[in-house]
Amino acid sequence: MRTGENLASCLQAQAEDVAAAVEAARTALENWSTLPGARRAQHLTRLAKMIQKHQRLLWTLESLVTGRAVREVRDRDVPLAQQLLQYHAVQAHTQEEALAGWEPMGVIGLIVPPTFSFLEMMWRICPALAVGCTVVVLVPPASPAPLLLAQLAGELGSFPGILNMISGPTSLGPVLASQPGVQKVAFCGAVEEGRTLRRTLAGQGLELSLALGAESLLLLTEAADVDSAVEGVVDATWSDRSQGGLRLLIQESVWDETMTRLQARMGRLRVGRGLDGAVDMGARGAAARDLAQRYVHEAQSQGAQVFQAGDVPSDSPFYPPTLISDLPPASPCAQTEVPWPLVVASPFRTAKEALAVANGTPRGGSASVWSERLGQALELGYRLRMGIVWINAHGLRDPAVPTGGCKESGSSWHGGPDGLYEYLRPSGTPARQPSLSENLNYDTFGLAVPSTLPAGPETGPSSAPPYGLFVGGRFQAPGARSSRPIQDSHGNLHGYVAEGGAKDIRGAVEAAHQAAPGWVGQSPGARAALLGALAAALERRESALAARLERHGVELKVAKAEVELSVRRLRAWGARAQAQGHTLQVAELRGPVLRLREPLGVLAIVCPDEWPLLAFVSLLAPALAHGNTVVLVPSGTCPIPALEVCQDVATLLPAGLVNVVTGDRDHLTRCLALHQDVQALWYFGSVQGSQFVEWASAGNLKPVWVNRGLPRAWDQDAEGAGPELGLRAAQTKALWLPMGD
Amino acid sequence: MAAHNLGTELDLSWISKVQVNHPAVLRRAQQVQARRTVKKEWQAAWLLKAVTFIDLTTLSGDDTSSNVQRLCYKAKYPIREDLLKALNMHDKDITTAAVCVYPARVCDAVRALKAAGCNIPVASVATGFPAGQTHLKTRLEEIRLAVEDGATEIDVVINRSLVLTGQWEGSDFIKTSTGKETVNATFPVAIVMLRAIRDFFWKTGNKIGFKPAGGIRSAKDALAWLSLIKEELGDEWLKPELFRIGASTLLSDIERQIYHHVTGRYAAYHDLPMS
Repeated sequence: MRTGENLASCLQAQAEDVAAAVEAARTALENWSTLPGARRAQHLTRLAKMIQKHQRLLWTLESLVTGRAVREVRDRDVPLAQQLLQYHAVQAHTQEEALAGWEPMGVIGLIVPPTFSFLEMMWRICPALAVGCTVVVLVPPASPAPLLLAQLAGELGSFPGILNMISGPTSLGPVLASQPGVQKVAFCGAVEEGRTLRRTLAGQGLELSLALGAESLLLLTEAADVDSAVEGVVDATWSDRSQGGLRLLIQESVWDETMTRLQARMGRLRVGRGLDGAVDMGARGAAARDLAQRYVHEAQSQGAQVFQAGDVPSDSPFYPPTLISDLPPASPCAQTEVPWPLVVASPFRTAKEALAVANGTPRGGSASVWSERLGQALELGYRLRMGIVWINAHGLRDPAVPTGGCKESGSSWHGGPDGLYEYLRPSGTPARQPSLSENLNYDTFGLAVPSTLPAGPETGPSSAPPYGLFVGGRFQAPGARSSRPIQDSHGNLHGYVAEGGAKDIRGAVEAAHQAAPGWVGQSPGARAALLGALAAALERRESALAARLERHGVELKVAKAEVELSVRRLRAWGARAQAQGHTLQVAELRGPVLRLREPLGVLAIVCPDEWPLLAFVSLLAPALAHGNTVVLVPSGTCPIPALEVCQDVATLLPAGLVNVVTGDRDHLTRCLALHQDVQALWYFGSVQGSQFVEWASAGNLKPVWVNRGLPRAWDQDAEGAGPELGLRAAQTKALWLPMGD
Repeated sequence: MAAHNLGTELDLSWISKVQVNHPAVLRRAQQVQARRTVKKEWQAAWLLKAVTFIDLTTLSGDDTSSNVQRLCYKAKYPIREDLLKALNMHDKDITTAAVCVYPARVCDAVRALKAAGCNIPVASVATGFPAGQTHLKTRLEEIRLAVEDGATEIDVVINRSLVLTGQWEGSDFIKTSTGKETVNATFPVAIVMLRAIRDFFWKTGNKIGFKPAGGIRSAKDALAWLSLIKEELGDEWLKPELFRIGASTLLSDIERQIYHHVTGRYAAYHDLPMS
């Protein structure tokens, strides 16, 4: 228990228990996933009613053990759990029509954090069960509320094995992931643990989704209702509603006023045992208190002012609400995540500075903007790099609104349509194959570039291919000043292409970043027009492209078809990208919530060796259409069609939008995967490469999409131009706009 | 009453800088009602405290000296003697804060309170209550006559036409409304008013009082109001000099709650003396 008293003892799972749980889930999967959606919906509704009948027991247990204020658990968590079940029951009901080309992934492993285990678990099992997956949840030891829920679910009787729960240490996480049959692991918890998990699970052939970190941001402008913003701070940090602390950005002109009101408000807070109905905040155990204490000491030693207030019991695990100010931005403390229950306040002068400060950390979870000026509020809301932004509110949650993050907060989503897609894959995707290369040396993969010697005269009817790396809108020589030969299907030399290296990758990524703001600023219609122009240019170039493909053993007819399909896809993606974003129906809010689809940023794509033109265009088109700028590594055996396309890109598209770097694929993959400023990476290559990419992505936790060495039918629309590409090419942001005057 | 508000220079720029976010205020209003619930003997204590804030009011067209007299007696003995004895509070001199009547009944109220041996103030509504649409001359005369008759507090109805054209007046207390409108004292409105009172105090050092009136009928509401004052302004405002509740039926609901606390049973209508 969080105040340190001993309540009960509980069993801890071992590896065999994990295996048994996964086996149960696998057995149940066949039945559950083939059930009609309406029956699954019924089951979820029955579970919601079960919760309703036993809600008092659930909230008392949860509050007693986690130490959080019972009012929060009773009035928000438990009703939210019921709403989640109801919402997802509705989604299950309509699944056959609405999600026709998608099928459930399979057995899902969930790992939840200690403090909010019940709610975090509910956010994830509801969509997973609704779409037809079965779940094995690993909860931290001594979490009775999730176990109670599992028992209630079991008492419903009809579908044993769809929800399995084991309580044990986090070291069982990788054990869970390595069980055969587990298709995906969803992890919610601390950043460093997530990183380690990402590295451990590289190459195991499973999907991993991470929801990391708990810090939030509150941006208070001078045009805000300061008293209400202060209430927002209380909601954010001192109401036991959130897991982490808060970074508070206050416009300088209202700094004094805000601090006075905030300090007066802190004086009225009550801290105490969770089950006391009149407290604002409870305790979360000695570990959380020590973390907060350490942070405060460090901050003080770095020159910060610390203010603590509130009615707090003097005994052990309680920690008072704390406000830290005057912490210099360059101090180490200011870089790390703010723990609960701390608020770190910093001033800013203009909105532009606020954005720079707010976006200047690796965290990208949730934020609120406080301003009564609509234009300013929306501008800040749109330009904050966060997964959720509330305008003039903080901490609102609803099952229909996707909740997630970007950057190092992990790119997994729960709630809303995005939450459902987490547990779906396109119909007909083959099941995961374990493919761990035990002997892959991460330190040496792709490090050295094998040198290549000249391979004889360039022969053949076609003219010399364009030479150079296509970076920043023009062809340029590679940094290494060397080339590699490309042979055609008869073994004759087709041409030389530049040998790109780490410096060239760096240059390409920089050029892509420079072009990004301009491209993002273009309307979807303008982007569609440019893609259409590129399509027309490719059409004019059809014979040259077909000739290049023919030299690599593709029949002329097939080559022409490949070119035509590429042209069609360019146009199609332009059109599709225009139908973006929509408002969501939210139960308890007056006002819209927008689900925005935003570009990821710089997207790195390592194209497959096969379908050298079609795959290249099929990957380029959705990436560009959704507002990203790209760095591509074309097919290794036949990069020349890609370079031909670049000649048209040079004249039609803004510089830096598309960058193509040829060279040793493993080496270039290594550079891109390790690059901290690439926002996402798509890799279609070898098994080892896929494993390396997954491992290296832990660096900045970029979302990756790898093929694990399996070929993809790029000429089939389902795999070459399906909705999956559109989903992966952009990220979601939920923008809440409560209304009222 | 607190020291009179000496007033300040009218500074309209101060008002124009004020921002109020309605949805956020609504959320705070909901929160404040649910977050600080008191039970058992603490609830009984808070209810007795609430009694001392009530301006026991009768503002009906058919007021006569007899019902005013009954009201004044109730103001002196708001809770039944034996209930107070059971709580050991019978010697704490618990009365309501004031009695509030129409100007024509002020004489009757003063006489009744004197006969009962009670020195609580008589408050009078004045200035063309409740609409305020009478000539300035008659409004001032009304106040003069009420004071002559013995009223020591006046509830003034502001001239709404002046408000709507931006011409402001000052006061010692602010009241949510006359209590005769369709929507009277609600928490969101109160929150904004209380924040204004607090800001004024921070800026000038003057403490202005607050009086919600109209629609406060249940003991639960009264507790929520006390909790709100305590949260937003602090304990200094929890005194009759700075906080009043304008109510008439509230007192009987409070008495019923206290009856339940003391006896464990629910009272019948006839168990408790009417006011």
